[in-house]
Amino acid sequence: MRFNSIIYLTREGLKSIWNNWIMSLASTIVLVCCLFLTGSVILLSMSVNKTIGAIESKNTVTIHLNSSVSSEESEKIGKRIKEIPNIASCEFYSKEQAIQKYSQALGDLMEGLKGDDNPLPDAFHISMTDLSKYNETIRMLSELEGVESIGDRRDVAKRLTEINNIIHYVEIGVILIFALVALFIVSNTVRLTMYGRRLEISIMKSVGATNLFIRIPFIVEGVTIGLFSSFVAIALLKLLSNVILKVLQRLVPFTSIVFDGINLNMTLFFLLAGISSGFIGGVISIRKYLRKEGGKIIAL
Amino acid sequence: MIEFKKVSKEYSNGICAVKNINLNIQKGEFVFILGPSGAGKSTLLKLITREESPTSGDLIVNNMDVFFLKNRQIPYFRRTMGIVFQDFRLINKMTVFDNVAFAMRVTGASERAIRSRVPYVLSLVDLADKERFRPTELSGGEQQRVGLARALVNNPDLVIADEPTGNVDPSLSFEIVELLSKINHQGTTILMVTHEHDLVARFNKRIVEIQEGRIVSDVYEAKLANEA
Repeated sequence: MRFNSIIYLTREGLKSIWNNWIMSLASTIVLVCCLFLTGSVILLSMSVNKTIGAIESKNTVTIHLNSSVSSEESEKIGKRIKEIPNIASCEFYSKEQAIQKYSQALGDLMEGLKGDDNPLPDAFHISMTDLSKYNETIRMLSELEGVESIGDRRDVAKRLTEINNIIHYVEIGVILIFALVALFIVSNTVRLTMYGRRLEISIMKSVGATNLFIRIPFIVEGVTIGLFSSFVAIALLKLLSNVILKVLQRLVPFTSIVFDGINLNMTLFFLLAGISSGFIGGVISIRKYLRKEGGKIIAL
Repeated sequence: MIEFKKVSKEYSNGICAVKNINLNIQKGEFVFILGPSGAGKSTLLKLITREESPTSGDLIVNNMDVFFLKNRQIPYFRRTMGIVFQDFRLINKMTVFDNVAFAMRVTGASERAIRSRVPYVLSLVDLADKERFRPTELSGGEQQRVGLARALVNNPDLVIADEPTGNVDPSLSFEIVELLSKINHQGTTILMVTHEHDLVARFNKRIVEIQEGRIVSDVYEAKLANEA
C-alpha cells in the first residue's frame, strides 16, 4: 500500500471520529470506565502484594510485655532476649514512644491517654538472623517471663495473602468482563460508523478496493478511541492513587501499607489495553460487516 | 470479453433468477440488457461483478473465470470494470472532483495521477466547470454524468450501467445513452441494463432481452441471421 493511501485512510478514520462525535464520546466514556475500574482492581492487588512482601521481608516481631513489668525487669527481659540464638537485633520500644506515635497520627483522639493513663505496653522490636528457625524462636520468646503477647506480623501477611487471593479472582473476573464490554462498545461504535458509510463502502467495493483498504479507517477510529480512553483512564488513576497515598500517609503512617500508584509498566499495560481493544473491536465489526452486508454492490 | 456458458443462478431461498444462459459479448460492443423488473437483469450484473457466483455453468469476464476467482482476487478483477448505478451513489459531502477521485484513491493512485486524470474524465462528460460543486447542487442528469466519470476514471475495459436513466428526466435519458455511446466509440465495452423499450429503440445497438431468467431475444444475433 502506498504511503499517500495510508495518510488518506488515517485522515478518513480521524474524520469519522469527529463526524460521529456522539458515539465516539459515548464509547470513550464507557471505555474509560472499564479501564479505570480494571486499573483500580489491579492497583489494589499490586498494593496488597507489595504490602505482603514488605511485611514478610521485614521479619520484625514485636514482643509486648505485661503492664506490671517494671523498667528494671524490662532491661532483664531484653538481656534474655539477646541471649536467645537467632536473634539479630533487639530494640526496646517504650509505651511512651508508642503513644507518641499514635498521637502524631490520630491527634486529639489520644489526648488523656498519656502518662499513667497510657494503656499501651512496653515492647521489644526484634529481628531474626535465620527465618527458617522462626517458629522455634517465637516459642522461646513466648516462654520468657513477663512477655504478654507476641505481635507476629506474619499473621497479618498470611491474612493479607488470603485477601489477595480473593482479589486475584476478582481481578481476573473484572478484567475479563471489562475486556468484553470494551470490545463490545468499540465494535458497536465502529459498526454504526460502518452503516453510516455503507454507501462509501459499496462504492469502494465496486471500484475494486481491497478489504484492507476498507478496514483501515475503521481500525484507525477504534485504535484512536482506545488510545485516548487509556490516556484519560491513566490520568484518573494517577489522580486516585495520589489521593489514596495522601490519605494513607495521614491515617496510618506507622503501618507497613505500601502504595506505589501508577508505574511505567502499568501505563504501558493501559496503553496496550486501550489500543488492542480498539483494534480488535474494529477488526471484529468490519469483518462481520464485510462478510454480510458489505459485499453488496448492485443493490444496497 | 464476457461469455456466459449455460449459466444458472439459484438463490438459497430457492428462486432461480438466471436459467441456463448462453451469451457472448465481444470487446468494444454496446449491449442493452432489456427486461421487466424481476426478469433477472440485476442477477446477471451481480454475476458479472462477482457479487454472486453462478450455481452452474461457466462465466468468463475480461479473460477471467469468475467462478474460480479467489476472494483476494476479486478487488483486482473489479478494477477492470466501471459501474454506473441507477441511484448515482455519489457521496454528498464530497465535491464532484473528490467523488471521481475517490475511485482512484481506493486503487492506491498517486495524488499526481489523480490531479491529472480526474479533470480529463470530467471534461469527457462535460462537467469540467463543475468539479468544485457538490452532488446536491447538480441536476439528475449531471449527477449521473459524475457517476459515469467515476466509472471511467480508472480506465476500465468494460462499463456496466445498471439502469442509468432510471432516475433522470426522460429528456436527459437520451443524453446519457449518447454519452455512453461516445465512450463506446473509444473502445470501451458497454453493458447497459434497462427496461425502457422506447429509449433502446432509438439506438442501433445489440439488444438482449431477458424474461424470467432466460434470454428470449438477441436482436444483434437476429440481425446477423437476417443478413446471412
